[in-house]
Amino acid sequence: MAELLKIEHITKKFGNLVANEDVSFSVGENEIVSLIGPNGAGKTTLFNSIAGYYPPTEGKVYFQGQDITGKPAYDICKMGITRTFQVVKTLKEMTVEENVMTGAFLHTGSRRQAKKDAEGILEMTGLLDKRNVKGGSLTIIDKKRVEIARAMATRPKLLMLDECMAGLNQTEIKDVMNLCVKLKEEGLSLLIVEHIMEAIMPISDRIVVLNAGKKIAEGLPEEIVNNEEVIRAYLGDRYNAESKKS
Amino acid sequence: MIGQVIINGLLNGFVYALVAVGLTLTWGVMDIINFAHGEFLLWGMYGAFWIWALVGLDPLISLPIVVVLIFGLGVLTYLIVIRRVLNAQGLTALLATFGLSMVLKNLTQFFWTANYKNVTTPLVGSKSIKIAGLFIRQDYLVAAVGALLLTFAVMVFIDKTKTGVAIKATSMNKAAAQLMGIDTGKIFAITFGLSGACVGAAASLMASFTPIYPEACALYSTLAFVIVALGGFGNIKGALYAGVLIGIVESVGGYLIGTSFKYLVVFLIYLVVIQIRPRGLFGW
Amino acid sequence: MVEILKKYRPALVLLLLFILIPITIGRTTDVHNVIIYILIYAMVGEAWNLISGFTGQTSFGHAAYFGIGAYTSTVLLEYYHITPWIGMLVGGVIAAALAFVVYFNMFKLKGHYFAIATLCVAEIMKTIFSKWTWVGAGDGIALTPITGLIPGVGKSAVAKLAWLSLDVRNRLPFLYTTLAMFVLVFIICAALENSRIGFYWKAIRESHEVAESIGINPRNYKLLAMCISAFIAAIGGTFFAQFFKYIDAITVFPMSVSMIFVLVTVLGGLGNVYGPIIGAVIYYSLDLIMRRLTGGSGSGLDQIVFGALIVLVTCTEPRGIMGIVERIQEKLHGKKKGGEA
Repeated sequence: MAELLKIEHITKKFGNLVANEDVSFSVGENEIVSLIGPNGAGKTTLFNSIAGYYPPTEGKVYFQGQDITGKPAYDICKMGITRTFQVVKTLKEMTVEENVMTGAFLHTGSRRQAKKDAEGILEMTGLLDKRNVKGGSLTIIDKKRVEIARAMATRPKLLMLDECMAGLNQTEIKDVMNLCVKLKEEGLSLLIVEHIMEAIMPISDRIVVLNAGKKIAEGLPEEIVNNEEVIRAYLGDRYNAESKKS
Repeated sequence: MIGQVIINGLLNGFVYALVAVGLTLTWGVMDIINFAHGEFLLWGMYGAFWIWALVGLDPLISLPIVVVLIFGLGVLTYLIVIRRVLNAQGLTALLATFGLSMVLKNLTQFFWTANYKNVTTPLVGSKSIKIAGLFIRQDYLVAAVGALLLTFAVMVFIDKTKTGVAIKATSMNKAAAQLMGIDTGKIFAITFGLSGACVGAAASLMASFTPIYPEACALYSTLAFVIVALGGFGNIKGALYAGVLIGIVESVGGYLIGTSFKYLVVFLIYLVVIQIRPRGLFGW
Repeated sequence: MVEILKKYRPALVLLLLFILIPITIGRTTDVHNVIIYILIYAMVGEAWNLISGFTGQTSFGHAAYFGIGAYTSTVLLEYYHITPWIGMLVGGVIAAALAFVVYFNMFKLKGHYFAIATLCVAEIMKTIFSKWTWVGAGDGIALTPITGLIPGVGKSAVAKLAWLSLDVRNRLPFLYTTLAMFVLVFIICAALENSRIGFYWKAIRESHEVAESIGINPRNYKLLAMCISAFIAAIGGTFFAQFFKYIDAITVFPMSVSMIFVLVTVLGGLGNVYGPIIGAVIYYSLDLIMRRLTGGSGSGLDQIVFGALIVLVTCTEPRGIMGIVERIQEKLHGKKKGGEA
């Protein structure tokens, strides 16, 4: 499998705080890779380093063989990586359709073309009947859909989803899972940061586990489930917490 | 000579600072740009003038009365206008205070015409005293020292009193302050009043040597905007230092390249400083 | 095409009113003057709206561009006998260039810090122009009548070309010329709003981070908004100078002038192409009525009532006049729907 995104020895420090330490992994073409780990493991920090929101302190990020370390987010997007946000950032005063069109404008200067592109994406994400609703008045699941739809409209090769299932109920999580699979069928690669293990296991091709800023495991979902260090660091925390409660 | 220039700027700067402290309070705590701030100052001056003209009390003596009056004006402004536009989006609140400034300014013209009014027999005259080779006008000195003391008083109030701490807490996080049981509405009203009190005091201090007319405070309010931004919004200490800095820059600039260009230097200083410190000298 | 006409039906109605009123119910110089002011300030309001309404960067210093437009065209006309039509373009380019240089590195400033910076730029312009002897310093420049400027041109020929020379003594042609320019500006702004640029501006206003995540460089698009805005504001300044026939630094550069543009736009509706024109119409019609009722502006009574009115509007409808219009529309719409069901 050809490598699309390669991360080499990323370290990110905020003053004395080490958020990421020497993390390396890669995402192949047409592959879903999930980044998991307990709260504060440094997932979102890593995400921001890759997507260009701040440069990593050390290490390199390559996309299709090109060094993109420290490039600004808008340039990285133009190269083919688009991200969503953990805290959804819908463009409130714009309608759903306009939200998606704004993304579509990356590849066309024509309003008509952007509208056409947006329509296809709205249909795929199940937002067609809400196209004229203002972003600010949507429900949380629809806001997340808009977030993904807007990112997709930029036609990325790699889509990075930051905890897009948090705060959703079971059926809604299923919806997003199906959407992810659909995106993969379309030929996209996905890098998903997620908290909810149950949701991520069935759709991921590979899983990378972070704990306290370091990568502690990488492998197929079934390998990760049985990895002792992961169980201790991640699942163990939860089991410990639960046993303490009882 | 340069020493003389600096001391003149310094004296001016303390008064600027007091006006700016008033503005930074509302700006920092409520995120409201009060365009009527200069008009508060104006009403303070007219207040001081009329008390002198009618009762014969010198502006320096009537200072507490004017402070209370303008404090009341601030509280009223909050209760009648600001409260309703506080959570409106965009520039609505700004528009409201701008309308208010029109009303307040033109009321003075309506009542008392556009002619200059002067306190002709001030308690402290314009004679200079000589200290270490520098000539210092007595009335300027009194105004500057008064402004400095009152600025410190406001700082102490914010840092040491219960109300002050509540104001500080509200400015940092309104929602959290509410959760802690702080009545933010009351705090806002007090903040607006306090902001008024600052300019009321500044007005009293300046009334003896400043011609009073409807446009008298336009310059002070523009300078106050720049000083507040230069010091960092909501930062009282920042406003003090920035006020003094602007006073000295204005004076030295005027001396070096001509009085008509002194404000040019002031505005340039802001543009330069903000390049290096995008959140003001004391912002973070 | 039909679709566009339908979408901008209110604009067409407005345009018709602006064409008809000056030759029907408003045939006095007084009304003509007010309409010209409305058009000029609405024009600059549209310009201000691009950067502050659509892009979300508040400017308190648009008088800088307005003044540069006024001075450039006037100096070219008075000293070099160049028509204001060229003068306004030169002024526009100079204003846009100034905006580019000054704000190239300034958009890292957040919110109010940026707003105060724009104020400072305008104040610096005011100081420079009030001391610059070449442009008349404190005395300003009084514009000579066109007939006196160009020797050898017969009076009648110039009179025929009054609208071409932007000579205000022929008031009605000047009014219609200003109207035509405003319509052009309105169309440009509406077109921008509906283009990629407009979408990007709004995205930046709503969220910097989202904008960056979908490939928008916020700095470049803000700079673009500021430059276009400056260009249009300068054209407004040229019309003002031609209309007022006298300019000095205190007339065109002060903060009070900058605030007019803010005021009419926010009053009408921020971030809405109709905002500036609606706001300007209301502002100056009320101003006229108030002046007539109170007998001149000497007492300041008109301003008092007017200020109180602004406070009243903001306290009852924070979204400005367009907010009230939208509310009425929603009500009408709701009733219609109810009737159908």
